[in-house]
Amino acid sequence: MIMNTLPTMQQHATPFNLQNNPVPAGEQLWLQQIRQNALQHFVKHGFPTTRQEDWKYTKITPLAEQVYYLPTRTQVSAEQIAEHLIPNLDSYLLVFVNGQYQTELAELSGLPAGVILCELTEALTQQPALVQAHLTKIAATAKHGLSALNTAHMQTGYFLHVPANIKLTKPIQLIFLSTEQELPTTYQLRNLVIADTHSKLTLIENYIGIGSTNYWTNTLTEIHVEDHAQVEHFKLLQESQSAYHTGTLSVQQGAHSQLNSHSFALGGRLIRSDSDIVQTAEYVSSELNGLYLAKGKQHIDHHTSIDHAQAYGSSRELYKGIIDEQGRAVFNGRVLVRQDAQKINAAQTNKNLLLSEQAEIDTKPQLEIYADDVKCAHGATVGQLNASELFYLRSRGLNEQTARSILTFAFANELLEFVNQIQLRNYLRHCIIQQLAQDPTILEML
Amino acid sequence: MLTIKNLHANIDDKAILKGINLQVNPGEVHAIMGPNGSGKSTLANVLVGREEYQITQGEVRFEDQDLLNMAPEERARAGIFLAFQYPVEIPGVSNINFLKAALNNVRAARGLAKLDAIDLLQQVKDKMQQVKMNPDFLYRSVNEGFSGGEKKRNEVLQMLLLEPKLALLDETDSGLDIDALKIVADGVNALRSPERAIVLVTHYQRLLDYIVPDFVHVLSGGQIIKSGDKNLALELEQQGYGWLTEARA
Repeated sequence: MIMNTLPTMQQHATPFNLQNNPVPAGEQLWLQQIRQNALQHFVKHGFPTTRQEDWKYTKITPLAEQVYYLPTRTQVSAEQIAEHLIPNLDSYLLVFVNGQYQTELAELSGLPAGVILCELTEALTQQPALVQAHLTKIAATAKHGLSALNTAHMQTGYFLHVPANIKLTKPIQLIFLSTEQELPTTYQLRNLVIADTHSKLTLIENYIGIGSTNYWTNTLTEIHVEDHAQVEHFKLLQESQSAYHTGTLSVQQGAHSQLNSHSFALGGRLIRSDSDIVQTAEYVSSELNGLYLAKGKQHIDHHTSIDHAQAYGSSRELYKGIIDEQGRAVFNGRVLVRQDAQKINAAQTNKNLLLSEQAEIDTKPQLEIYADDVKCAHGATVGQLNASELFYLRSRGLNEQTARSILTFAFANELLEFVNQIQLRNYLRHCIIQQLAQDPTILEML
Repeated sequence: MLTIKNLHANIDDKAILKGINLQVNPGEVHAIMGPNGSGKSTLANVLVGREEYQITQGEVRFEDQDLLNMAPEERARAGIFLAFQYPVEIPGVSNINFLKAALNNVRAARGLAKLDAIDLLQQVKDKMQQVKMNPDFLYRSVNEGFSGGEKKRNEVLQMLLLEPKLALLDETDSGLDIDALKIVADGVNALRSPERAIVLVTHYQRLLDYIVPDFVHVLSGGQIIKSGDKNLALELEQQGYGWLTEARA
C-alpha cells in the first residue's frame, strides 16, 4: 500500500513561507514588531543577488527557488549524539537536532551561579528584559536579506549570559545536527551571547549534517563582548554535501575586550559565512582565523568586516583555503578604520592552495581608512604545492601521494596552532584529514 | 655499485652534463671537484631524480637497476641519499615526524619492521649527539629558521639514520666554520664501510683534509676531465683549476 510508504512527517510538513510571518503563540509584542520590520525589509529587498558587490561571486538563487519545509520534531538518543561530540572534551553542552532543541541532552552541571545557558525561547520567558535589551542590537537588519529573514523567522538557538567577572573554565559545546529527512528543511537559528565585563568564555558551535537531504541552515549569532571581557568563538561547519549554510557572526566589543574567532568550513554544498566585528571602544583586540576546504562542487564564501570605530584597537586575520577539484572559494576582508580610530594596528592575510586546474578562488582585501596614524597590512597569496618541498620529501623515501598529503595538511595545520584546547585541536585535525580524504597515517607525521 | 655511462643532461634546453662516465664501487670514497658551473650539483641532482633536468643521453645503473627509470622515492628506498646543498624548509611538518616517516619508509623497503616510538626517539637522539644537534630541533618544523650550518647538520643526521648504500653530499662543506666542518666530516667517516660508497661534491679541498677520498675527479664543462687520487685535490688547491681547463682548451 502506497500510504504505508509515505513518511508520516510529510503529512504534517509545513512549507516554509518566506513572506509569511509565523509568530509563535503568546510572543511578546516587541519581538513581534521586530519580526514584522525584518519581514518587511526582506519582502522589499529579497534574497541578495550577484548584482550586489558583496554577493558578486556567490549565487544563492537555488535557495530562493527551492521549497523548504519547517522543521518537525525529531527525537534522538544520547547515544546517537555521543558520536558527534568532541571526544574527551569536558564541556557544557546544548544540542539542537533538525532545528529542535533537545532539552534532555543538555549538560549544564557545574555551571557557576548566575550564568544562564539555555534555549533562546526559554530565555525570552525567563529573562525577557535581558533578551530585549540585546537581541538584534548588533546585527543590522539592513546588511543583507538573509539576516532580515533570520530575524523575521528565527525559530530557535542558544542564549548565554555570563555575568561580570565570571570566567568559565570549561568551553560550551553547541551541537546543531541535521539528520536524513524526507523533505528539504530550513533551520533559522538565532543565537545570543552576552559576555559581561571581565567575563571569559569559549563557545564551540558545531554544525553537522548527516545524510544527503537538501537542507538550509541560516544562522545569526550575536555576541556582546563588554569591557575587558574575553570571548573565544569556534564555528565548525560540517554540513552535508547537499546542504546550504548561510551564517553571520555579529560581534560588538567594548573597551579592552578580546575576541578570538575561528572558522573551520569543511562541509556543505554552499557556505556563506559573514563575520562582522565592531570595535566600539578603545583598546579592543579582535583576532579572526579561518580555514576552508572546498572540493567537488563546493562553494565557500567568507566575508569578514572589522570596524575600527575607536582608537588603539588591533585586529589580526588569517584565512587559509585549500581548493581542489571544481571547488570554489571567496574571501573578502573589509577593514574599516574610522576617522577617530587613531593608532590602529590591523593585519590581514589570506593564503590559498589550489590543487586542481579547475579550482577557483576570488580574494579581495577591502581597506577603508579614514584615520591618518594607523598601521594596516594586508596580503593575499594563491599557489600550488611547493615542488622543492615535494621533492625533498620524496628524496627521503616518501611516496608522492603521501608527500602531497603531508604538505597539504601542513598548510592547514597553521590554523590549528591557534587552538589551545588539546581535545578540540585533535578533533579538528581528524575532521580536516577526513575532509581532505587523506591517508590517516599522515597524522603520525604532524 | 654505481655505473654512469655517457650521461648527458639539460636544464631548460641548455646542456649541462655532456658525457659523464664514472664507476663507483662499494667501500670507495669519491670526490668530485671542479669550478663553479661545471655541472657538479647537476650530476648529484640527476642521480636522485630531480625532475627539472632532462636526460638526453646515457645510462646510469645502481646495483642491477636502471636508475634513470626510478622515481625519487624508489631511489631513496634502494639506498641512495643526497645531502642537499640547499636543504628545503617545510613549515608545519615537525623534524621528528619527518625523520620517523623517512626512516620507516626506508626500513620497510629493506624488509625491516617499523621502529616503535621509543626506540626511534632513542636512535634519533643518539645520532643527534653525534652531529652535536640540540634535541630541541626535533620539535621544530623541518629546517625552518635553521641556520646554514644547522641545516647541513640536519642533512647529515638524516644520512646517519637512513644508512644509505650510496651517500652523495652536495657542497655540504660550503658555509661551514671549521668546527661544523669537523662534525660533518666525522659523521661521514662514521658511515664509511666496505659495503657503502660515498661521493662528495665539493668546490674546495679543505673537506678532503677530514674525509680522505680514494678518488678525485675534476668536472669541467659537463665532463670529467681528469681523475686521480687524493693528491690531485692537493694539486688543485695549490694551482687552481686553470691549468687543467686551459690545457684542455
